[in-house]
Amino acid sequence: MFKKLFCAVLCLSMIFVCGCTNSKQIDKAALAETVTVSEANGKLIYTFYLLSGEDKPQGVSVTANSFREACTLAKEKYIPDLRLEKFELLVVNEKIYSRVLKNDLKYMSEESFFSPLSYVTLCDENTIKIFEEDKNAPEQIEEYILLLKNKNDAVNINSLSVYNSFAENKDDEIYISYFNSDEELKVSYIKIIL
Amino acid sequence: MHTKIKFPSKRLMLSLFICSSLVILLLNFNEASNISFTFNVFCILSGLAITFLFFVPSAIIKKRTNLDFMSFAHLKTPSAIVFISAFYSIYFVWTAEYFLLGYTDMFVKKLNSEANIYVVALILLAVCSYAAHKGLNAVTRCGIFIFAFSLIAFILIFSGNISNLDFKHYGFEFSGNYNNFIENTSYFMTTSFIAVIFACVSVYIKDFKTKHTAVTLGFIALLFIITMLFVWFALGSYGNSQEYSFFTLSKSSHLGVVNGIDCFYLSVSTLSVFLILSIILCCISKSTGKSGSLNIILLFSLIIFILYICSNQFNFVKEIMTNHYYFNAFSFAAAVLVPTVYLFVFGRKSYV
Repeated sequence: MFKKLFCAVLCLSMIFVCGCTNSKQIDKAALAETVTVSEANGKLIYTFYLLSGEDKPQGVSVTANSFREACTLAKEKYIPDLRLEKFELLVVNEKIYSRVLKNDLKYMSEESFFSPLSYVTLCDENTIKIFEEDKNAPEQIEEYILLLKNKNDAVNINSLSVYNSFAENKDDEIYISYFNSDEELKVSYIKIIL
Repeated sequence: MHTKIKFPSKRLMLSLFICSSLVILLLNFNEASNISFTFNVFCILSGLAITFLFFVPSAIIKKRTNLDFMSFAHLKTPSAIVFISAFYSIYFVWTAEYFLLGYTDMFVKKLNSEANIYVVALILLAVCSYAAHKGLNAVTRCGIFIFAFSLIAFILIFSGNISNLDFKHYGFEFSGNYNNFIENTSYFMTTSFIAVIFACVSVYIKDFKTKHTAVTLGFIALLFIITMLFVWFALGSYGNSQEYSFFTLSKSSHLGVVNGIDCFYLSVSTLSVFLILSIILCCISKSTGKSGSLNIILLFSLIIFILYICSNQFNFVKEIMTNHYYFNAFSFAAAVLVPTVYLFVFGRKSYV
């Protein structure tokens, strides 16, 4: 009798007090898997590619000064249910990496919803355009990054290793993957200096 | 409801091991930049060596009389037992607050920032009250399964981080100063609360040997050192950017195609906090002299919950409750000071 009464009180307490009322349901959440960073008219543009069942990639572009600001603006104005727990890939235009990479990785390291294993890569302008047209581009890029890592262990591929290289490398030089797509998508690595 | 059956000493030690793992699971202090990994290992070993000394008075009482300190005090000073009971009850309420506040903070920061922490605490306390009502024997039996699950979780988290280990950037040099030593050693010394639990409930265990304590503390040290090794060499500077290094460690684990197994971390933390709160409620009912009394358990659960609300409403209360220096001083008084006074006052001859 006591057990039944105890269980009933426990269940009722959970129903009435509703500890997780504010939780976002998975079917409503806008899950961003990839973010590309490019430049237009001297301003930084962060494009959030959301998981969807559509054939075309669902990208939402936000003009901001940093990834932190872009995430805040996106949640406030454009994607209220934005969730970054499934974030996997940050693609930065090679021309602007010195402006954004260090700060953006610092932001990613401070927020617990970002996985330390999210891939970080640089690319040319054509590769950024591929993301707007091809839904499978992130998957392809991740495969290429893994192949590159298998060939050359010195290349930093994820936010954990790139951030640590920034923080610890005394020479201020690190190797990071780089994509170009003049004719077809090609992966290599470049040495960047901070 | 509460059984007086004695159970093996190893089982209690297994549960105490799980309870101690919360100290490293809720590890939440920022490393000073001048501290090295080796220095931290030294602090861990120092903290646990002191914890071992905390076991000595109650282990002597157990060896000589086959009683725990609380039963010994009930026997020797029945007129003063109300003060001893009150002192230990306050200590255990503090311990419950220390870990409950740590757990709910982690829950809000890492799992759901919009969760109602009072509901989380209330449900947790309700479940723990029921477990405590069932008695220490049942709770420690449950501890075996929690240990098995935790072992799998720890193995998965560590093995998933092996490929992240990088010994190039950080060496094994020994660097740190006196203040760092005091700060870190006192943090790892918070495991000494297990000595107070032992002092309170060791009458229920049989076949106790001193080496059980040493082996348990050895395994706790091993767990802490392995965790530090991975936090240091697998996470590097990234690990210092966030609170709860073990959470980041679980998030950076990758096993085949699976990236990030933080759900294991959250499960182990929840199970460990359930175990510790249940054992603490058992200890409270034992120290009041009414083992397994549902009324006593519910009354103290309510006190813990009210104090929990106060801690969250008034920041200075929370600061006191989560200050590990005060907590260690209280543990010292409960595990060493009071039992030693009894040992001196009631000499060897009066045991028989």
